[in-house]
Amino acid sequence: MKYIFSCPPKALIGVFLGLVLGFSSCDSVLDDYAPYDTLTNDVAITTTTNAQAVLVSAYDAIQSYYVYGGQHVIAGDLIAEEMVKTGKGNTVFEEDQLITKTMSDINLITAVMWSDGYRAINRVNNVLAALETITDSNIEANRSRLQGEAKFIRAITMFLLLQHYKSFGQNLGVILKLTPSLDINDRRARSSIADSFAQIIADLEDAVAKLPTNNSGRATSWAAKAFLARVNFYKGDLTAAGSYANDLIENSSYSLDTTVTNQTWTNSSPEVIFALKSIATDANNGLWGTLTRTESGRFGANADFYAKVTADAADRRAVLYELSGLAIFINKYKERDKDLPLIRLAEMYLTRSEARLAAGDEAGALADLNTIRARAGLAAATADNLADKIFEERRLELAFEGDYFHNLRRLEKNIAGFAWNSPKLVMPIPRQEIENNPNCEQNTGY
Amino acid sequence: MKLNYVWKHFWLTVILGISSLSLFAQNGSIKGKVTDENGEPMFYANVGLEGTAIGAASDFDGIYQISNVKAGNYILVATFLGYKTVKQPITVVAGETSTVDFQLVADYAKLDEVVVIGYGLSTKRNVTGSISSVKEDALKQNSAATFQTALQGRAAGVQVTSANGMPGGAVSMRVRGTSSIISDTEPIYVIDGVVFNGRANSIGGTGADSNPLVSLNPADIESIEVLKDASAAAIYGARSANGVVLITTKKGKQGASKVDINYRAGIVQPTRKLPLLNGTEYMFLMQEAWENSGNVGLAPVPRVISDTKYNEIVAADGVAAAEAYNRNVANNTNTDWLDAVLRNGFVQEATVGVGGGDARNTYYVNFTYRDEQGYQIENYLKRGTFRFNAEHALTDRLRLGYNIGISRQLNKRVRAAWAGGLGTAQSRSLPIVPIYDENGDLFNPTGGTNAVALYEGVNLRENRTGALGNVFLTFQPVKGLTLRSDFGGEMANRYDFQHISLITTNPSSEDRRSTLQSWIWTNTIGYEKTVNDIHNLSVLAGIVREDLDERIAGLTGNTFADPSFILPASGTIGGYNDWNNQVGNISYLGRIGYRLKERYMIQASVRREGSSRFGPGKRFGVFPAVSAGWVISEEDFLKGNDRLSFLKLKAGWGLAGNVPLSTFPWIGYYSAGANYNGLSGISPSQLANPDLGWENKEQINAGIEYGLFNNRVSGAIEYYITNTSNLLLPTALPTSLGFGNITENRGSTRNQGFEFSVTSYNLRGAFNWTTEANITTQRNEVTNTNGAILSGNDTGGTFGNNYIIEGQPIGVWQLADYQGVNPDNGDETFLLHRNLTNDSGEVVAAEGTVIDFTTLQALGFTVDDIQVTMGNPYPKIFGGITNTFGFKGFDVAVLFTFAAGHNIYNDDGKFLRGGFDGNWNQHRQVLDRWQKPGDITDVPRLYYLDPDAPNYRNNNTSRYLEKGDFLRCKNLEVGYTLPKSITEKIRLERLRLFVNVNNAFIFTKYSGWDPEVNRDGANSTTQSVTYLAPPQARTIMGGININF
Repeated sequence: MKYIFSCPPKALIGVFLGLVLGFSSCDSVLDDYAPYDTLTNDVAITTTTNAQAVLVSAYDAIQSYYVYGGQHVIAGDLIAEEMVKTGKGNTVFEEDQLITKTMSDINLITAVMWSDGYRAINRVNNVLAALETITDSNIEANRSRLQGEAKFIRAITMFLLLQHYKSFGQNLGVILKLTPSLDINDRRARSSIADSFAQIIADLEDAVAKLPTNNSGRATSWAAKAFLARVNFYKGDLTAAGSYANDLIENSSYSLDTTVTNQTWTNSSPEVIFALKSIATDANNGLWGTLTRTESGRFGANADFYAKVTADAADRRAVLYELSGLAIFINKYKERDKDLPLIRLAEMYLTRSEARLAAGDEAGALADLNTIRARAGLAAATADNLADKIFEERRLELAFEGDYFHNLRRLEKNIAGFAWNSPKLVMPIPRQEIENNPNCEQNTGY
Repeated sequence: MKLNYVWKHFWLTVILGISSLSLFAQNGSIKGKVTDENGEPMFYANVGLEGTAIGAASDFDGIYQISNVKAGNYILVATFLGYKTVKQPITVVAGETSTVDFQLVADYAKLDEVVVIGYGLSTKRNVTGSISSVKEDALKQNSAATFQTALQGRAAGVQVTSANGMPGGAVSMRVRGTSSIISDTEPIYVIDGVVFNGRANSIGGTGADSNPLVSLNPADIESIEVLKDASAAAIYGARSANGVVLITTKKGKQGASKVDINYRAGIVQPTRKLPLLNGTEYMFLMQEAWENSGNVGLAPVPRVISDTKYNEIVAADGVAAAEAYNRNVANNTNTDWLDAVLRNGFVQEATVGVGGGDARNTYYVNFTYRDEQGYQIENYLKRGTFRFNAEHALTDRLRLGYNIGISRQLNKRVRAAWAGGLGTAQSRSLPIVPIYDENGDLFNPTGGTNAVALYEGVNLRENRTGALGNVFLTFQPVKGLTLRSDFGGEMANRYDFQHISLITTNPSSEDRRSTLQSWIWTNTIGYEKTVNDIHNLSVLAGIVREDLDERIAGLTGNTFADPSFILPASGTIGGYNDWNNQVGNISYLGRIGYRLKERYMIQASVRREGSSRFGPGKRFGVFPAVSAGWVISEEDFLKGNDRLSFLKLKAGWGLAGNVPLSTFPWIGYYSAGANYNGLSGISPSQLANPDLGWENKEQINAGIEYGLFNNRVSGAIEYYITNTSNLLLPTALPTSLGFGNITENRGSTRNQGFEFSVTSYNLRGAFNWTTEANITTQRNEVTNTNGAILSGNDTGGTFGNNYIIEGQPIGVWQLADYQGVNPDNGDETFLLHRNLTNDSGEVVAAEGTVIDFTTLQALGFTVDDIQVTMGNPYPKIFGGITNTFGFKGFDVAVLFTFAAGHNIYNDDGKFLRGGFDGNWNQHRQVLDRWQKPGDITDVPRLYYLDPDAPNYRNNNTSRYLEKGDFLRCKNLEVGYTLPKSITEKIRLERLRLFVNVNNAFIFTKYSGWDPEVNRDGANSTTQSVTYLAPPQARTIMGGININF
């Protein structure tokens, strides 16, 4: 029987040697493997398009639940106990630590606010550095705007961190990180509170100069001005704060939203100066999940607040709060896909009101207060105890928007039994930062 | 015999498509009978012509026949596993049939047994590295869906742990300890030369992983060799640091076609049941805890009814009525949730294997179907596998072969641990919560308290279709020189699907499709030459090229118009993602071996391997190894000694490599996905670290192999020490850099231990009794981390109290040192291992004192402040003992496995053993709680809804750290083979009936579900920690085995 294969042995040896030696000097085949679906650092931001895309990622970063996606409200309100447990669902111990003012340096909320905040800042810094070197044809038309947006994001992120991590006794603010992280051995110290404010204000002022008034859902010069009003307000410069608030009220197209009967603003509300966008395929409204009764709903308003907001039957804001058993659910954020407003015109009125009062313009202050009261459906207030009234109105109007806790500290009022400057109210610098950055000083008490 | 003839021709013509006419050509024949030392015929002994591929296997009567042999002089060789090989010269004359009978004598030490080594074969006598072999017999006893568990207790130095007893659940294997922290710690599996790359499930949040290796049918496997030390494994270079598991599938043998049919069926049940409180006890203890917290009156009952129902009653009749209604439900309910979700699952498996061949063609075909219900409701695995292996002699010098396995499986999974129904059944499903409401519907399914709803409401499926195989061509131009080209690969398609309904008001689903494609091309040249029966030289050189490409795409959706719609795109798309991974390797390998007089042997190998996972400067690693052996018993002064019949001394050194799990860990890059408002964003996602390189594992192995009393007792004693350097570790960065960590080569670990193994043929004859035992000791130590202390969370685990600390075993715990309950106040007490000082530096509590919780709290300290390093997650000693007995037709095999010297941390203990506030059911241990001053107990006073009381749920203490020691009857099999007089009548060669029990019983003091636990799959830092993990499975099966 003859076999089908009957090659002469010599030919087969040749084939085999060919197979074996076919790989000789083929180390280079490994060069064909490159990270897939990624951009390596050397080519990542060499075009205007890519610089824009990295900037988009910075917006995404501040949308983190631990930055401006939820904790910008929850953390302060839990510490101030303006927000309390509803009894629905389980709170986690990190949240309990905020409530009991026993935060540890490994508390997830405090650690991630810091790390996610600086992640956003690093993204922005990469954009700012790249904008200096990009030379393509689109850059001139966009450089200024992109710089403005980048500085706006850097400023408002650093401001949130400053609000929570600043230590009054030590006069320590935040780490002013202004360049991209490329060197893994970079270790920076914290700046003073004043220097931190100065950098934030400088970034915002630069943003005002470079941003357009309209920017399709992204930072605008008006948004930067509104934040300048807020930052100056908390810095203690009421004159500057009032001046920026006045600019918004008088010169911008924003107006108080009178069409809505509850204050869950629509995405197109004329009142919202800056909001983080949330769409169905990229829903990031973390407050919706934490606060809404039909979702987790584990935190609600405290009883004292509820009594105040329902004290006057005419107050249209009362419908935002829902009494269920002993719990008071907050319905300010009850739609998942809706934008999350970060700053709106009502705050400008209240800020200007306080600035006017400080400057001795009692009538003007009262007028601003009553503008807000009228919108809420309330009768005009009288001028007696005006400072207290502004404070109370601000509490009700800007409730659960991340203002109350910081305002208490600004006014040096006790907070849930703690002195305004108690280190217990200040977030600890995360342990990971302290352990790996010898130049970073921990806050007192941690 | 007629049946055999039909079968043979059926298979040879239909499957091979090749006529077997060559059997009838005009040449000579050889036939004969093979018997054992007692004269009993030997079934399936191999008789062949030395130096050719021509041969045949004997039938059940011991008869073999080799036809169509060219006239000439040959050496006829008879071999049988476990018997000494016999050679006999023969002259074949054309047209005549020569008769040669063989009587084989048992080779107790199996010194001539073939051992598969890297890129070749050797014999046990000549191996100088450390290799454990597990053969078909042991594999048959393993009734699990994966072959990995067959290695449990059977291979010294190899520790195999099933994560749980769920069908198709993950299994972890450690060879000679754990040496890496964030790199892979599992060995590589090489199936007929093809590296297995399968991946576990890809849907997250399911609480347990599935095991891709269930795609390999254990019944396809002929032998498993575990290459344990570097001198054996380093020729596999990359990833060989964790050992190499070589799997050889069954091949057909020359001779009449043999058919092997197996059917087995039985039940699957959990090995143990966790004792929990019943409803009455729960209410009673809750009331006691409430009063302990200084309250009077009735304790508030946890909300068992739905919020909707509660609010309805509040609206209608007020809060008091709602509370009363809720209490009434609780008072009148007594649910045993574990009984509600556990069951006796039914398992069955049918296997048909057919193999045979002639002088030029051999084939083996296997089809197996397995249907296994888990011990949890809604959980099953169905698997069909098909194998086709064949080899053809194309010419006398050229051979072509292929091994192909195809598998298809459906794993209807259930979520496990914290995510799953069984986890809920022992925690949030309180005994005071009903399963069904008055209408027979699930009670409050969305409340997170109905475990049955979690099973019925989560449809989790994994469909996998895969093929793995190779084709090879070998060419022998001259005697001793072999060229081999072997091309193999794997293709797998997986479809993971999860649909969540019932437990949520907004049903959602997730759909993930994965493909895996790999190829591996191995080309080797080998040469072996024996000169004057004194010198034996073997040389091997080769090149291996590997490529792996994996792609996963996923889609999630929710908000369906109607419950009938379940595919994500039928609702609102929640999100989508895709992922791609490509890895390439190229290796050059060489090995040279020399034996002098079969007494002195030395072998050296080297592999230079490049991996695309590293940057250009660090891409290639060189992994050398050398080993030597001296068979002392061949020396004149020992030769012929009956007492010390075999003695070999061996030692080896080598360097093996390990790579990071991530694909491009060295490069700085931006990735996509950080999108905002419909705009696509890219973000910096990894800092560059071009210095990242291979982990190196340097290993030394030394030992003896011995045979006593004519090898009736044989075994080995080995010592190993391995030092892993350039260990990859995450380096934490200050997060103000915008990054959390990078990976660096900056640590080292050491593993050392002894392995003892013994096989003893205690009785031979009418009554056979054999004992095989192995014991491994291991000591594992983190030798350097550059000062860093890393927790389980830092290294990718999900538990933070395991640590990487210099001088300690990997994953050592840091816990408060619990010292029982203070009889005066019921507080937990702790031993202080350091002085506690106040802000002014004064000692307020001295080291060595025992302090109770109240005092600790009054001093301003928490339980976390007094943690101390303790425990060991890895057994100091483990092993197995197998006893097999045979008497007439009966055979019995009993395998015991054991492990000792390690601890298990019950992470769920914090909640289950006193943590009432979490609304968790409680372990029956709490019935022994402290109740009044003077009570001596280990369970502290209970509290309920008390912010000032100790919150046991937050405190990790040694109260939950237990000894993990166990002795387990891993497997028990009793079989009966029908006498030949009966089987002959029904034309069968053999018929055997058997009963097999896996995980039959266990001795342990461990109080949790099961002491064999595995957390986070392969993560080496968080082993021996359990959090609501499902127990192992006990499988009781009966079966029948037919050969013809």
